[in-house]
Amino acid sequence: MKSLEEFAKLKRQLIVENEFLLKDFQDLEPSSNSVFILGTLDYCRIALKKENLDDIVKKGHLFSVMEGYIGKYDALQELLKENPETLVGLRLEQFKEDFEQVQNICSEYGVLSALYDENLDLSELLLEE
Amino acid sequence: MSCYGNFNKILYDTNSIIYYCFNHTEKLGGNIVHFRVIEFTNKSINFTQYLINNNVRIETIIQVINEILDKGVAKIVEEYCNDGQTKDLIGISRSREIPRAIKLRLVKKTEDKINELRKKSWFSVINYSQNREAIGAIKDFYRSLESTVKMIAHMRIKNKSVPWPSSVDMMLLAYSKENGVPILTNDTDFTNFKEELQTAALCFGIIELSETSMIRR
Repeated sequence: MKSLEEFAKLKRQLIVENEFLLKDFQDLEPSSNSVFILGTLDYCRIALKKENLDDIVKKGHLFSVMEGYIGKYDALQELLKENPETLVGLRLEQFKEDFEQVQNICSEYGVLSALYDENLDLSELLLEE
Repeated sequence: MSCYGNFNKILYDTNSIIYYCFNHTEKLGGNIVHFRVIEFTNKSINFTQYLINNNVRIETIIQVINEILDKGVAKIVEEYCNDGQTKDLIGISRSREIPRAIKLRLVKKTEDKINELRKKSWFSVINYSQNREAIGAIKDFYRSLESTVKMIAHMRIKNKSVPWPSSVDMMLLAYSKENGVPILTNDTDFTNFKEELQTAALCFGIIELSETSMIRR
């Protein structure tokens, strides 16, 4: 199990990687898929910034799932760099399934309500600048 | 039968469907806020109810649904979230961007409503195969207007490089003509040339969403 310092370092890495992806994808033409990519990465960014778990088992689990989800975008990033127009036709089912897991864990551990939860209060998604 | 003419079916374009479904209630800081496109959501909901009450069936073509789910909802939500009034509603500075997670939530909720709409008994999605000859005639019609003052201004405002509408919009016109169904729309590719399109018999009719508030309910 990682130490709290190692977790803090991993969290910083995930935030930086996530923000890099958000910047890289920000100019994609609006489509259902681009909104999904940017919206779910933004949700991860907010969750990571809000995360303050004391339980290192839960912390380790959450970061592992986040790392897996954010890491999935490496291949997509390469593809879209060459052919951004292919995005509209892409089926992102696997990403959607994995994001379900991300939001379920965030909700279960009390980090952030699930994005698609009917009872979500939007103020949870508004971070101070 | 309706006060807009003698028809028992009507064809919805992309935005008419999106506006109908873009109507959401959310919690924000413990309060309730409503998200809808102020000029059009109520018009689309009221007119749709009027049509249902008058036994007018509502149709669209599958290409419209595909366009909505691929890009249409995302574009409307993006425009809506860039509007200063929406930022005021959420309570963030106009210089800030609405979080992309909120945009995704609005897109998902709208898509869910569109999928619910598809199950309604009064709504049909038609598997339409485009009529190339009709599409060619529509394209020729718009091309013939290319040098007119009206079209030059229209293209400049819409920042378009060609005078004709999208392929999905041309299919809507062709379907309207072939099946005797008027189109409900607020798309200026249609409404700016409504008289000309009807005179040239390139569609059955055009009903402007913005004018539907005149209905007798």
